[in-house]
Amino acid sequence: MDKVRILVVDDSPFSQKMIEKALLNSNYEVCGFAGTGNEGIEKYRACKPDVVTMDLTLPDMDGLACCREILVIDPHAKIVVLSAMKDDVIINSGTAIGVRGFLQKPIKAGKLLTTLNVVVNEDKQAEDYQQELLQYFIRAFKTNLVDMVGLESETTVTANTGMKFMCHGLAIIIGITGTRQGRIILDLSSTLAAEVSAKILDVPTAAEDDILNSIAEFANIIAGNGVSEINNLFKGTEFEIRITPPSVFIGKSLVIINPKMSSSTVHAQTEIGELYMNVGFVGGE
Amino acid sequence: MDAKMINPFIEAMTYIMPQLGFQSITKGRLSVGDQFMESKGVTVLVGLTDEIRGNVAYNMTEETAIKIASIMMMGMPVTQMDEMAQSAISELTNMVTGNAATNFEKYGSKVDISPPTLIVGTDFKARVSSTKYLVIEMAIDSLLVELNIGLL
Repeated sequence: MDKVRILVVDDSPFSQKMIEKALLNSNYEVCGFAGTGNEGIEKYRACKPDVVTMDLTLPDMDGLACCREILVIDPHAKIVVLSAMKDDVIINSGTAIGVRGFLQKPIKAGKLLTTLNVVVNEDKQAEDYQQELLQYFIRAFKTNLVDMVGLESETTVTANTGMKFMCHGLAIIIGITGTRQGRIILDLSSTLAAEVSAKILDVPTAAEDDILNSIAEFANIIAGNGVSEINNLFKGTEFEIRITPPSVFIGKSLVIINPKMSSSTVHAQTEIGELYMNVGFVGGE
Repeated sequence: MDAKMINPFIEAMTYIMPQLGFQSITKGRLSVGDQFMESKGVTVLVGLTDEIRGNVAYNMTEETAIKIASIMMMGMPVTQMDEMAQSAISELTNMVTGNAATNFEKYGSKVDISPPTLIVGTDFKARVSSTKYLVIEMAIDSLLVELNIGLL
């Protein structure tokens, strides 16, 4: 397995040595040391590391300013702040910029490796969670299309790139909390929503409020069924996920964005039109 | 819905925002929303579960979102709602709602939050969990952010 390349930005030769020592015999290899912020930025461009450790007190600039410059070059840069200071203000202002992890000196090898592993694997983990759990929501989607709407469907799945989802008119958003965190979107055009709602309610035409309520409940049942099936698989363990109440968004040119999330869109083709369900998870425990 | 439910959010804003470089945080008008929240252009939705269930939608104009992102990035010029600005605004709502959840816990209610979802576009509206919801305007260095809190 390829080693994970790490850039160490720290003006103290002692700290540099300690970090190097902590990473000995691990899956990490130091691809560069930088003693100043400017050198850090330069070396980031040159060696494109998988992860960076950043001291906060650098001779030429504030460590968070250096993080910001690196994140301008690469918004997906993974940076762990490693500093003598660690408090709420540092954590919150660093998180605001896009820093992924915070550790306090003195450096403890075990803790450094654990934090680096979490930060480095976060995106991959989000993808794994999504791949693992998506099938349960697809099943709930198809089953409820039959049971609640009376519609058979052909489903195809596309991976969502760029963390953006374009809406078709009416989107129900339901959050997922607990052991895995994510969200589900059920999306369809407003014309199709009216038809689906009429079928759910078994009326010739549904009123606007009834359309919103029935589609929101339809989404809620799909999400709830999917989540229950997943929780049942983990019965007897501490694993538990829950769903938030649905929120409804209505508009012609909506874009839904979840930074840090890995998601897939399920296209369900029915005889009256296409419905979409996007399921996404973030990494981390 | 009890108007006291907004306090954990106001406390969270007052605690978090100064840490990100904002000077003055003032509470503005409080009202009760009915039916739909009209988006100002950028809306971030964060869901709550456990002992308090619902959603909070942070609503602001794109111009405000860009200015807030710029201050969060320590004064870096931000000219559009790009990937960094989207990430900064999402993190902001995540931090504020996370802190509000901690505050709810201090008052005796356990709350878990979902990852933030950013919704951008022109001319859209939303129903935040329920037809009746609380609306609180917050002025952050005179930038207006509206919190729409719909709890079940």
